[in-house]
Amino acid sequence: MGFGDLKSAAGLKALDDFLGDRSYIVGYTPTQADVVVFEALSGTPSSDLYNALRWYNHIASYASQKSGFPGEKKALSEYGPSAAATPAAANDDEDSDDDIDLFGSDEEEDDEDMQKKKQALVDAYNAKKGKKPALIAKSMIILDVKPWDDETDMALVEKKVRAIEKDGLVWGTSKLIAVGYGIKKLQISCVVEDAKVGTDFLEESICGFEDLVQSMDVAAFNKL
Amino acid sequence: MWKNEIFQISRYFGVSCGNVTLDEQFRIPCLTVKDGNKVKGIATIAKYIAKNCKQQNGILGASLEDQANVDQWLEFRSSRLDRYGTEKDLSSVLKELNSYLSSRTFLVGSSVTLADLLMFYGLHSVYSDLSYFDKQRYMHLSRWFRMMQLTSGVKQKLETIPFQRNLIYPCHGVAH
Repeated sequence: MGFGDLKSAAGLKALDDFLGDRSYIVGYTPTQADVVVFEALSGTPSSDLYNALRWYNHIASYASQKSGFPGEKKALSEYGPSAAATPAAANDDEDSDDDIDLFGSDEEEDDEDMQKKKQALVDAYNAKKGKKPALIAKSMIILDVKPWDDETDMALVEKKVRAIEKDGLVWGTSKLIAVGYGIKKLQISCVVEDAKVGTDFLEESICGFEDLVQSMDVAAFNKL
Repeated sequence: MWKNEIFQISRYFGVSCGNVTLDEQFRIPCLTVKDGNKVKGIATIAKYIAKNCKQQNGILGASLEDQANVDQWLEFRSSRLDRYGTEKDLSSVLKELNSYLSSRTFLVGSSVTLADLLMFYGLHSVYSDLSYFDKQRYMHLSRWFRMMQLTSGVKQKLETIPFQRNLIYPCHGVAH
């Protein structure tokens, strides 16, 4: 896409925006890219385009040294906003630009060093992560199971509830609590793995014993 | 911290920095030079090292005006950046630098000078605490900072400060 016509106001505006957070057209040192864009300009940008003006003055200060800048000249349309979107031009650290050596050689060594260190850290982290099993989120749920009347066999209710089996579900202690008129409700605790068992499943299963159970409530729900 | 900075400066110039201590009275670094004399203060030491180095490449300023400007920025660094009291002071320092750099690529002249170096080292710790929002707010300063940290030999062992690649906040936030 590039800047468009750099002699038009729109083109200059695009250049100004582009240079807002950049010192040079490509990378962090002057290159032939700067020369190409510089030569495409018809003159000094106006002072309200201060980013473009700043860059223009800076490149102009090189005077005759411009021909000595590294890199190859490309067509004007190769530079500018869309080129910046490709990783080569936008990357801070990786110098992946094929034909332009943006940084001195020792900088590259530094980068390699950094890369190695980074890789070592990542490896160490992965190894650590591999050894330790992922933390499983568990919850402790206390259920109230209410029978139809005082003639319901609570021992049978408990037996049936405890018979519900599912991966990630462990039944705990239970007790009978008097509700009144001789009716007793069954209070039973269980520990579930959040990812595998939900209260919906419990409710569905327990209320499935229609002839015994009138209703079921969750009395308490605690994350472990 | 200051000790590190002096090491960095001397490494940049490729010389050994000698014996650096901290002056207890004024809490400023102190360099003992060959004949036992002492050079005090970060800017003074940096200038001493730079002047002692053979390849200067205009690091102290190409012309007389530039040299004076470099001195002015070293002064700015020691009096304003190193001695800010509140967050407000700091943000006014950053704002000032930002608006100054809006029309310039380097602090002084058209190449790296001692002023850029010292300002970069001084700002590094500040920048590592800045949010992305502030980095964009001080866009011109950030551009300069980003260029400096990728200029060969400058950053050395310092951490690379990350910058966003695209503008992520509305543009009216840029401080001028």
